[in-house]
Amino acid sequence: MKKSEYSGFMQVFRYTLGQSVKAKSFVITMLIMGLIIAASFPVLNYMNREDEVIKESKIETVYVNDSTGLLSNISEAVKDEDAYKNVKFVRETRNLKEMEEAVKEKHENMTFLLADITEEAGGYELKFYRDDQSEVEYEDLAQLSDIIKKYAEKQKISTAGVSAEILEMISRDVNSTTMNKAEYLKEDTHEVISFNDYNVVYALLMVSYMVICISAGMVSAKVVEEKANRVVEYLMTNVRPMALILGKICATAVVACGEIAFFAAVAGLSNKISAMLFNTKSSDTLSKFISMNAIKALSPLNIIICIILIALGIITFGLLAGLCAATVSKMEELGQASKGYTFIILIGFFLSFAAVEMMWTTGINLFVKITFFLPITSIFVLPGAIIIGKVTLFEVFIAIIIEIIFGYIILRFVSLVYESVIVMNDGTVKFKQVLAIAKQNRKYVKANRKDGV
Amino acid sequence: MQGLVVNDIVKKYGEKTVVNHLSFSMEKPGVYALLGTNGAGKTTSIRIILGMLLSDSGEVTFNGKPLDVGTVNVGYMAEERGLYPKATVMDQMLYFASLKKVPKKEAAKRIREWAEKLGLTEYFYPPKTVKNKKPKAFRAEQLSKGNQQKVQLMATLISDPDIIVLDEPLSGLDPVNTNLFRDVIREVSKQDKYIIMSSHQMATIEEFCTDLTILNRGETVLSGNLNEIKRSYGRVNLLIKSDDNIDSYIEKNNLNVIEKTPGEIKIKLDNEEQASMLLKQLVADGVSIVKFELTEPSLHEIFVEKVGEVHEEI
Repeated sequence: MKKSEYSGFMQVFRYTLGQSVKAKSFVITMLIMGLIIAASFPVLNYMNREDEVIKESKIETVYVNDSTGLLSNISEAVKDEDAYKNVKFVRETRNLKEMEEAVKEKHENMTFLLADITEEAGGYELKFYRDDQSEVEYEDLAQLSDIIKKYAEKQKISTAGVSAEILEMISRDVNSTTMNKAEYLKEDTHEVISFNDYNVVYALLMVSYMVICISAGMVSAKVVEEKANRVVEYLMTNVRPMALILGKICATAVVACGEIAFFAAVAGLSNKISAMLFNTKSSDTLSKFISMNAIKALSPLNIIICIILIALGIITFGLLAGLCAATVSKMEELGQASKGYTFIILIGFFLSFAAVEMMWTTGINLFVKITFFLPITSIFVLPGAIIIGKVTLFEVFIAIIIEIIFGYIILRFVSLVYESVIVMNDGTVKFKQVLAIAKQNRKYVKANRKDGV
Repeated sequence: MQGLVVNDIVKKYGEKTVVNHLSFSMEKPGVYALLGTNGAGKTTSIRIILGMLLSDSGEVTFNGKPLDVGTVNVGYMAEERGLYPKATVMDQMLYFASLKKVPKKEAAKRIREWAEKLGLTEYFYPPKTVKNKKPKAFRAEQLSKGNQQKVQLMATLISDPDIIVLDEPLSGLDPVNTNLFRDVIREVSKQDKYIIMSSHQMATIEEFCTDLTILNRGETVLSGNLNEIKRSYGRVNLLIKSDDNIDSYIEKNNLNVIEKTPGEIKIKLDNEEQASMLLKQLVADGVSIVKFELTEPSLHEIFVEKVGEVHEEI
């Protein structure tokens, strides 16, 4: 390819980038989405907040009606709890209504505990009641109920006369598998990823999907805009078509990545600030979703590799989007133009999604391995697999080579036809016509090469 | 050969030949007209010349080398006007100038000059309406069609191109803007540029163009120097103005009247001798002659005749 094929690339890139970020729709989207994200994390963190530890309880007496036998020594449950060690536990056989009548005149900060075995609960049930008029707060009683629940569970085990470890062992399921000798001897390499790993891979799958979709969508919209407004005819006398489309792809990729990065930054900041405000000791919402333990292979090299993969995906699908858009002549036909490349992206996405699910449920099997190398899926599934350390550097290298070859084939095809298709304004150009143009132009290029042009 | 040479261009779409062996050359800077009916192949030819379309055969050279818009400074004003509707005219113009590698400062200077020349200053440099607030630049969609066309002309000429292609530059303009465009084209044509112009306005073509090619359904029906072509037809248009009624003389000589208005008669002659004979008769009979003008056919007449001939043959 001649150097002049890409002359004008920088100018197209700069202009497309500038116009994209100046566009009202872009600014409004960033503001609205940013606000939604910024507002979401405080709400989530507030809902997931842990209650403050009660240091001094207002509970004076707990009337216990225990028909389970587990709470015979209930005061043992709170002997080491500073907030509750002075709480009086009184054995009772009366029900709640009878108790309320009895203690009404005492004006105690009382609570009533009914411990029973019921079918509805599927076992033991501890019900704690407090008077609406009492000074005992809900959080206070909830904290006490947690303590007594843990005590009851321990008592349940010790009643059985077994230790916690033996109880865990006898509670495990018994599974059976049948296989032949060859399977038996085959080394089992299906390594299942953890839930935290799954979250990381899934998150990166969604990020790369969003970036590629947004970028491809913007490229196709801009190509159709230029064609519909007939600007492309003027541009073609100043810049080569491949420079025109690659400049757009790179600019829209920067915009798409910028959008995602902005949203991620807003999410991170909002999460951290709201976690500080609402949570005292537990981890914030984002950390619960993506654990730092899962990001085992997060290194500068791997980050660069992920960026290269996503960039290759953006270029490949951007070229396809540009070519599809060039086959129509009006903005109203943009949807029709989008079908082609959208279909391919969706196939890639769903195959990748299936692979991610398999990684978590059945392990990294042959299907998952194939998606690591298939060009339309590797861009979605590989970044996450790299970050959680489930793919070797050699495998990544092969996947990148395959992706580059695929991208190159797409680039060559697009460069053969784009120049011809972009100036055709007589309705939609069918795929057959595109192939015919490619064939014709290929002959012309070959003939020119022979003539030394 | 120096200059712009279009040599034997052929373009087919399937079985249909849209441009059939088109050849012409501009050895020196000047204005060349590419004329034709709708669907004659003008725009296709222009696109091939500019490298937007590949021809099936033939070549286009400039100063002996294949014409490459990447290396030769070419300005093109397409028949279908095209601007980014949502972008400001200033942003677009700076972009177009940058594509032509015009440095930013120089581009800004040229934009101001052209804006003043074309009466577009208020759109490129809108006045401040609110104190201390930067005025909002005009988007292309906010301009009238005529002003958008002027912006396009500016875009075509902003880089001071060596080759200029104007496809229907005057279509859709009001008389005032038409004059403005003609002034600009006149000025540019004096600057050693190779200009190819396509238009249906024959009066404009006659004013600016020295050479022309007329296309019809992809075929070249006429090509060459305009004056020579006209001379080859001879002076066969006769305009007579007389106080007396000369209908009888016209009848007697079997002359073809093509237009008759009160006081003036336009006659199409077969040759100049018919004019001499008529004049002699009128003078001999003492007819009062106010005007007796013998002229060459207009380009419009030549065009209609040529294209009409081809239609008849078909």
